[in-house]
Amino acid sequence: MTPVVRAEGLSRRHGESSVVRALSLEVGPAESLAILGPSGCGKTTLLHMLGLLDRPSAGRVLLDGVDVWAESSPAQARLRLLRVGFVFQQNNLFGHLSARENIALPAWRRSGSKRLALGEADAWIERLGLAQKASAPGRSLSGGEAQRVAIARALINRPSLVLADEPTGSVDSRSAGQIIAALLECCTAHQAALIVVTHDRDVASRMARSLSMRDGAIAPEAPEAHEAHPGGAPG
Amino acid sequence: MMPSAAPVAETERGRGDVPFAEPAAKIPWASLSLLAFLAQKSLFESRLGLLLLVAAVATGVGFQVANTANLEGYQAALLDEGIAAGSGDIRVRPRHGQTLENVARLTADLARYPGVRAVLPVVMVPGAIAARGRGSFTGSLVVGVDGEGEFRPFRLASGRPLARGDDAGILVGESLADRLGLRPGDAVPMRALLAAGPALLDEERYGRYTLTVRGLAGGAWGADESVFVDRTFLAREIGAPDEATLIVVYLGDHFAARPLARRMESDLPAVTARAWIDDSPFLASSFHAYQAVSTLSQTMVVVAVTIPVLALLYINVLQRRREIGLLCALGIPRREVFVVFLLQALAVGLIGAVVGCALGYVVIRYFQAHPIFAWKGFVIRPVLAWTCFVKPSLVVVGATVLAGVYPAFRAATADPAPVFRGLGE
Repeated sequence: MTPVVRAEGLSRRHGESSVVRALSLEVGPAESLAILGPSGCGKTTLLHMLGLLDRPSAGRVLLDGVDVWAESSPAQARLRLLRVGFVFQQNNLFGHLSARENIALPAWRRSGSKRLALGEADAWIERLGLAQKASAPGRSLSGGEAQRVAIARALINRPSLVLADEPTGSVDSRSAGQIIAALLECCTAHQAALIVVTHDRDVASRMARSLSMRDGAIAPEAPEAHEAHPGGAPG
Repeated sequence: MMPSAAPVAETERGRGDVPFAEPAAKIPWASLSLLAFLAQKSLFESRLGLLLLVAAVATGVGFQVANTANLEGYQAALLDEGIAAGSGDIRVRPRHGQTLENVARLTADLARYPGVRAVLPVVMVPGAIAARGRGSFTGSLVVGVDGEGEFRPFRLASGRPLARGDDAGILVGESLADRLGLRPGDAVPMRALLAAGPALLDEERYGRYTLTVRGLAGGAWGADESVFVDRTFLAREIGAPDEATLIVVYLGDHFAARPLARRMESDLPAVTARAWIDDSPFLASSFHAYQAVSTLSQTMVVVAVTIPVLALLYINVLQRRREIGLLCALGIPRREVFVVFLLQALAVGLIGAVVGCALGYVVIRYFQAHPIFAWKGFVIRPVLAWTCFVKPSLVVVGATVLAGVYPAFRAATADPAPVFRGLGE
């Protein structure tokens, strides 16, 4: 199967220090991968390089076969819009926009139509049980609600790749379970590859595969890969 | 071998239970409505920031609107006093000798030039007047004019104008009248030297008259120290009914005077014709001073608006680094991020201009009621014209947008990774 995303020899230096060192990986459609590791090991930098937010010092990223860092800036923006969805740890939302508007933004940019975008956002609101909070400003949502809005916004353009950086880092364990379930369910439904950076081994255990990073490289004692659960989270 | 790049629209994606509009084949730009929506929502989120920005722009516009109106009023009063109620746009004098001859024909010739509104022959002789009952005379220029017309080289401050052929009436300059205690209706003795050249001091050529003050004349360019009599009367007394010392030409456009004067000189070799801007150094200097003050004021306002607006918009960008990062992560291109922040500057400029115009209107009305300068009928009042609002508004809105370029550029070129990295690991 053609991988959705493939990293080849990715490296990232900040000054004299190597944050990520010659790292390679690939993730296929509807596949989920957890990246574990201590703080500062380069997990987030790796995620940013995969999601076209941070240019690698060496190596390349192929997204649906496209060498993304060889593209022009406008083409990269288009790739981020249409093929990549991001869920960050916190402050994911525009606080002055409603939940509905937050979700609709990428679709509005994609379709050029506010009406169509809001229609799609409404469907996502219904799907993720956010109907009561549709008009609430982003800043007024709880951590769990905000993450569900962020998931809807990440998936509204049907991306090939969803990147989640500590998506459960600022919510309680019950909300964390719901967020991971929603992420897995939606990514599987849309055949999107999911890469989750996390400290939480429980979260990692729900992904099809996981790998550990240390000092910018994949740790040799990486846990064994889990089998992907058909239809989403293994429960 | 890696798979070849595929257009996004052709990428296979799963279908869920939500609607999905396929992306356009090409998305060169987001709809302006999305960018305007983002700009508006972001701008109005910080009420204090918006208030400060609008206040900076509105103050600049309000000040410059009132300033422009006052300067326009000053220019209008200056030109009115020095040209329309003074020595006209073009002054025609004999190239040789003391007087212009064949004045009737010359006047008719000059009246045919385009843009000429009036042509006024003037006879001037040295003279003196005294208050009735006082023996001492005060020297004064005696000016013979057709005082009934719309155009005359003075401003009628009080009383009534001289009627054509009125050989018993006189208009006295306001300052002269003040010193001599003269009022309309008073009888005043006048002496006039009716000769020129070697015969100037011939006592037999003195004219001795007792005239009635019909009114008082004002004018900052000598009229308030002169006396005015009917030209036909004075010319007859001199013995040269078809001669004049000077012909004053009034135009519809003061700024057409210089080229027209050159043309008149070229067409009429017996005369010299000088435009007001060349013939009245004080008036020309005052006019240039108006232009300099106007330019300086505008420059100061632009600087005074640009610096705080740039600073506030830049702070706004720094405070919104995470939002900018999110826009980047969502796939909004850098050039559109630039437009979002530039639209904010434009909105601030437009709102500030509207508020500033209202502020300027209030200030103009105040200065109309309380003029910044008033002296013997020479009053400088601000001009309430649309141009006084449009030009400062356009300049300040333009300065505001320019001030927004650098913050917008910084927003568009911001690196999103450090913002997210700060929370990620």
